[in-house]
Amino acid sequence: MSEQSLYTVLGIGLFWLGLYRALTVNALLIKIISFNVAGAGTFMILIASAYHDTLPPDAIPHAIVLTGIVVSVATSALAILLALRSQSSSTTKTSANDHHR
Amino acid sequence: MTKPLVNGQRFTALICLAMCIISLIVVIPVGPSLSAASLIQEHLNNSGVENPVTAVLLNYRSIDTLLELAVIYVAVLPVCALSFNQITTVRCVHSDTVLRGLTSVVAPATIITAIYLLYNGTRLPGGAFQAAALLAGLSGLIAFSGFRHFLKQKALNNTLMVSGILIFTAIGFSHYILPASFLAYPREYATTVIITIEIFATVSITAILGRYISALPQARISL
Repeated sequence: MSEQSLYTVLGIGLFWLGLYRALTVNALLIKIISFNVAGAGTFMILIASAYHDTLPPDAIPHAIVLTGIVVSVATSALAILLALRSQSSSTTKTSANDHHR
Repeated sequence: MTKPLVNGQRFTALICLAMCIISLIVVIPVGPSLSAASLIQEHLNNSGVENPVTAVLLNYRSIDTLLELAVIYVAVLPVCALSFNQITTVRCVHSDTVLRGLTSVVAPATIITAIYLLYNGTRLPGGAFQAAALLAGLSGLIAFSGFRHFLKQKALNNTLMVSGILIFTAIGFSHYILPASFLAYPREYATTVIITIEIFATVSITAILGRYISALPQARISL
């Protein structure tokens, strides 16, 4: 088995593993991390698709993944803040006021 | 913790496993696909840089990079609205000497490495995103270690966050002076233009990612 198919298979496994955990878990933080794991799986598949035996690797998947990583950081930051806000508003008022101090 | 959804979880696991096997069967026999890799190598001389990834990011498909800068800037607005700290009030809760000492040692090395990565982007793997990721990590470290944050002025921070998009768009429009299209660089200026865009994109991405990090609540972070 070549490295390319190995990384593709691992990427597919990672994607479905992350998606399964994201669909079944209740804790919001674990859900966000699971979506990140699934995203890492898609990045692995894309990077593996850039490999070539003789020619230099294809630059387009690299550029797509580089862009995708930064966008996934943005979405995770937003998702984590939303999760923290929804949890802090569901707890008591005093703990919500603590965060604004 | 109770698990009321055991049957549902089993069902989801079964579906995910089946989809995983189906995607493996679909993907494995696929040979090398026809791509634009040879086209990129052919026209690399005309792009102004030697690294094909940078050429794709900032010359062939620079509209994608511009839109990506716009996406992370748009994401800053809800992050600011939901933020637990203003960037002007980011200060140390865990004021321990070790973190401050570590930051003062790591900071100069990080800045030098980021400049090297940024400069390297035209020839070797590296460039604006890698340099900006390093600097954003440093920005988060400074925010939580209690040093005076270098983005403490709100006006300066906002200017830095939009500078990448503004400069990129201005350069894109500047070539309407010549009969060319949006973001089409003339060959003789391509290297200068790309390095200029990379510097401003690095500054802008650093400020934006640093804002994401400093939006996190401090009381929940234990060091």
